[in-house]
Amino acid sequence: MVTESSRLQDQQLPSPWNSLTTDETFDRVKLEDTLKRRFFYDQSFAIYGGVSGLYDFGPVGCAIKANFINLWRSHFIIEEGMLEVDCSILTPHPVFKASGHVDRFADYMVKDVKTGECFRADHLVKAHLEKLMKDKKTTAEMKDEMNTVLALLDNYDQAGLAEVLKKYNVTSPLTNNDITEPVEFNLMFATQIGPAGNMPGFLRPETAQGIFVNFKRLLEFNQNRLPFAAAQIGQSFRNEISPRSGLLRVREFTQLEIEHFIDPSDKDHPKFEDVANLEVLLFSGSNQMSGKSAMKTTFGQAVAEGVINSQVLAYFMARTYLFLLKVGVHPDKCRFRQHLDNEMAHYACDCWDAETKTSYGWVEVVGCADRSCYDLNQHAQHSKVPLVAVKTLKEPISF
Amino acid sequence: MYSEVFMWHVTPKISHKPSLESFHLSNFTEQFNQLKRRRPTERHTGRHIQKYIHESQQNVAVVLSRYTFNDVRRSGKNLAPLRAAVKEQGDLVRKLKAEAASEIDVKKAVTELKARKKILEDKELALTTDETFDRVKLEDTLKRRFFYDQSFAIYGASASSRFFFFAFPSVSGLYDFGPVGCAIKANFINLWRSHFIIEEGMLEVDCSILTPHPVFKASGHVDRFADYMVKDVKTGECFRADHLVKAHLEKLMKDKKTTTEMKDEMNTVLALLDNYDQAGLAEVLKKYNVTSPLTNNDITEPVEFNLMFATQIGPAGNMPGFLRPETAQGIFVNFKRLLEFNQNRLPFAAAQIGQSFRNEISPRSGLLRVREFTQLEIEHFIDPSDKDHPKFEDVANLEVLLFSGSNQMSGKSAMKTTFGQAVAEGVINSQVLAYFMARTYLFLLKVGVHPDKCRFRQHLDNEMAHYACDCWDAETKTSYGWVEVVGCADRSCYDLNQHAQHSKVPLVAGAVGKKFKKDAKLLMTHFAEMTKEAADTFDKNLQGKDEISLDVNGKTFTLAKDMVTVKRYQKTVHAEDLTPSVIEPSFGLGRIMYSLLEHNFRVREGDEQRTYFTLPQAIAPYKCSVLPLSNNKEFDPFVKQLVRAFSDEGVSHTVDSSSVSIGRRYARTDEIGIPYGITVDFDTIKEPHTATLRERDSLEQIRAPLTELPGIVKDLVGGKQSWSDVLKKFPLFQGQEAS
Repeated sequence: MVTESSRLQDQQLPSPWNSLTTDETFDRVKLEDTLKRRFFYDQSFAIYGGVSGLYDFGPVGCAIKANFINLWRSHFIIEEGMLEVDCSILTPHPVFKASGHVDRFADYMVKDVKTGECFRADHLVKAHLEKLMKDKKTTAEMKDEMNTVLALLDNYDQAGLAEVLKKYNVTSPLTNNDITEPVEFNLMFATQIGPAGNMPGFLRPETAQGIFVNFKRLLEFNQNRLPFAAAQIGQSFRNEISPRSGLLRVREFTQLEIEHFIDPSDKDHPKFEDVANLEVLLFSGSNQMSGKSAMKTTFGQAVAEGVINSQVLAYFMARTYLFLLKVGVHPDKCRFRQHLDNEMAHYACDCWDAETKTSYGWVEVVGCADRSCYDLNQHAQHSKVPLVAVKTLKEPISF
Repeated sequence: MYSEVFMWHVTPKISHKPSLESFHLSNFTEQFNQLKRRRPTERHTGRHIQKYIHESQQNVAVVLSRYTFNDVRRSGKNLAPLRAAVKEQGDLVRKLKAEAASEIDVKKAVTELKARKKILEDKELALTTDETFDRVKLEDTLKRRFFYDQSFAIYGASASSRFFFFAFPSVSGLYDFGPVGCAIKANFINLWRSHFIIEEGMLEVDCSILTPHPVFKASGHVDRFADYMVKDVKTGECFRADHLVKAHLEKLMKDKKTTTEMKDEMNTVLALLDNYDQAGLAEVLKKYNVTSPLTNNDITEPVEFNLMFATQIGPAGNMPGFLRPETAQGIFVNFKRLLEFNQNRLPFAAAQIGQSFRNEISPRSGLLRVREFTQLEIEHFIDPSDKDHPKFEDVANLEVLLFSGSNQMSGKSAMKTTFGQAVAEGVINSQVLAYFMARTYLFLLKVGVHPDKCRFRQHLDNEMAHYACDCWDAETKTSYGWVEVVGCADRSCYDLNQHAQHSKVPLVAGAVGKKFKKDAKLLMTHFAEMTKEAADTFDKNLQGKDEISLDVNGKTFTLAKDMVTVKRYQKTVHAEDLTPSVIEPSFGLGRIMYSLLEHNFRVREGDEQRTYFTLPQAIAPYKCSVLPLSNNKEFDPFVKQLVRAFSDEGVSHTVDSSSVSIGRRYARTDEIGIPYGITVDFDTIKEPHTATLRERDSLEQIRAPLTELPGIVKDLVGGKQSWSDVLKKFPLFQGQEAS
């Protein structure tokens, strides 16, 4: 969850394969003017100068949001009989220690040594190299090298990034001042729970962990039977280093997450037939690698050809797709893009992002991952409470 | 600020006012009731109560004079002497106020008044307690069926100690809602939205939880939303300083060695307890040698503990912020936008539904005092010269239990009256306030609060925030006593004025941006945060000079005279000649939800083990259960057909196909308050396909065609027909229930 979710809203930067076809008639300034003037939403605390990455929804935005959530609840929770939970935002330290967020939910940050302004190190490198590559003086070999750096950007550790920043002499983009060495900046908001000062805690950066720590109760609620799905709707918080692009990268946002728990030996889905013939734009890993574009296909075909790993994953992708269409996403501006191996968390075996095409490029709007039991194992190990389901065997095994 | 003693009925901090909570007496009531439950046959004589109070001294402070004590013992079921005692003291308070007596005399008299009031209320409560209600049973159901439960329970004390040098304390005051609780909550919020926002045409907003420091500086929360806390120097346990002083002095005053003069002095301290500052409290703690109540260890000096959760916004470490302790401020800072949205016309109402956070020193009583909770708040902005309401007639004849200030002062009980009468008699200050109280009352009844267990209690003068001119709390009667669940206040323009003052930008920037580039922001922020006084000083310094230097956050700015001018104007957040008043109904979801669960919790006659909730259909977590009689495969297609139909109709439902008996499964669906159940049985397989429909409260069943059943349930739940209508169309069915 950690690596992929920290990239959740990271798709607005133009990638090599998008922004080929832009809608020339769309005027973002006009849209933003309407949204602001009719108070769909606007920057929070504007009378106090505003805080970036925080938005207040006005009456129009609220009504849309309420309708959205009600639709989501009936499309997923009611229709699929999911178990909804509503968990604390405040979360004590050990929970996110177990989930890996304390150690890994971080971005590398550099500061302008004079103004103190903070930047994400990878963003600076990217912008800087893209500028250099446009320079006519840059040779083809240098460009190749830069392309390699860009391709590996997500994989650099602290030392590697420091080296790259130094090598290409990256400076603060606005002032051209020097920048500091990159440091890890954890994206969780920290606070203290209770008065004693001995209970450090965080605002959750995702709602999923609330489901995992309630797994045992939910399994009991479901009469100890798999499969079942749990869902949660609520606020999550990420202390983004540089929030931008309006609602696309914010510090506080509403998440709607589903965790569908299944027996790993049975990844079929009884209702898969209902969606097998649904057509969708899929951008598979192999198409991305071979420079092809996204292809129209059906979910049934994609599973049959092994493009999507399992029926159950494909079923949820299809339901997601139907929901997106229902709320007004344009079918021609919506696709599923498969994560490449190096994008995927080590515990995920297949992962697809629903992406929408906007004036910011293709934006990841939903992540659909087939994860292993990573989270449950982590919490079980750290809390010492076994989080397992019991399977009734058709044939008893004797020892 | 509220005084302590009065707050025994679990007064929440739903209201806006940064104030201190006080729970000790509610705890007393709670334990007193438990004591009674334990020994139902014993008479509760003064001695028992004395003993009980002695037991509770450890963490509970109780102000009860010997006089009132004996009175309880003697009075038995007769409340008259208690009422007289309250009235006597109420009259004294009035007299002292009329004579403009010294503040301390008034405070002392009020303290005694509150003590007497409490005795009376306790007695009244004890006489009307619902003996059949069993909180342990309720809590067991809520936990077992996962309505809600403590958060992070799997991370108990020992399990997570590996991360810390010390044992990790369990997290109190945080709750996770399970599927049943979530469904109820979602229904609750949808009902609230349609009852208030849609029906009254309110402007809904949904604002950030993260809030930068200046906003809560302006609202007063940074300075005043705090309690004084002391710690046990050895165990590190935290206590509220005023609670400790109170408990300690009460104990001392009972000591026979304590002289009358000393008692008088202590009484004075108690009366002034809310007024002490840090140094004052420290002195008192030292003078009376107050120690940690459980261990007798020394305690630390009192420190202010702000109840807001603090954090840092952004990576730079220069933007301290808080999690909002109430949703209301989000509305106030958006006032200008909302007024514009409403085409600059008053009156209008704005509403917000969202999470609020308070870092309580000692959370307790389940959902009643928590650290994170859902608030639903309305701010209705009006022209203060016109407090009538066009729809008041619609509610004028609605009957309600009102507990007015004067009734409280004179020892009378709450009285049934109509909102119309209350306004006519001046009991409620204005039509508009009464209108919102009435709408609040109707909402509470709609979600399942019992009308006999609901009242509005008026704040007494000395309870009210200085900016409020009338304030009523909707209270529900629960096993914890009367609990404030909604606050309805008629407030002045306090909040708007505060934000206007603090966010005022008294200067105009032009050349500043050019010269200082990035630093200009720092400078502008500095100017933006400047108070009027600071701006005046700055202006004075500027006069007659060509340039002026200014230190901001360690940076020195040199400003040329032509770069900056001080303009004085009122940056009005509304029409210049009008300061709107605000009517503020503020709801705490958890408290109302807990109340309605208590009020609707029932045990089936003749079967102690079978509990159920008589939840209103609109609130019930699922509207219908689908139960195949057994796991016979032939039932499956019919179950599927029903589920499909319910999904299509948008009726929430649940299937229980486990192998336990149908009776057990009915009990299970009753236990979470599902109003209807459809059973697919062997007759269903035969043509024409039919199934039974069972109603939760009456246990009556009918048999109807399978295809019609989803529609029948939808009409029942939607209020288009009642169960008796259904009974007219389909004969009663006697069947599976008995088996």
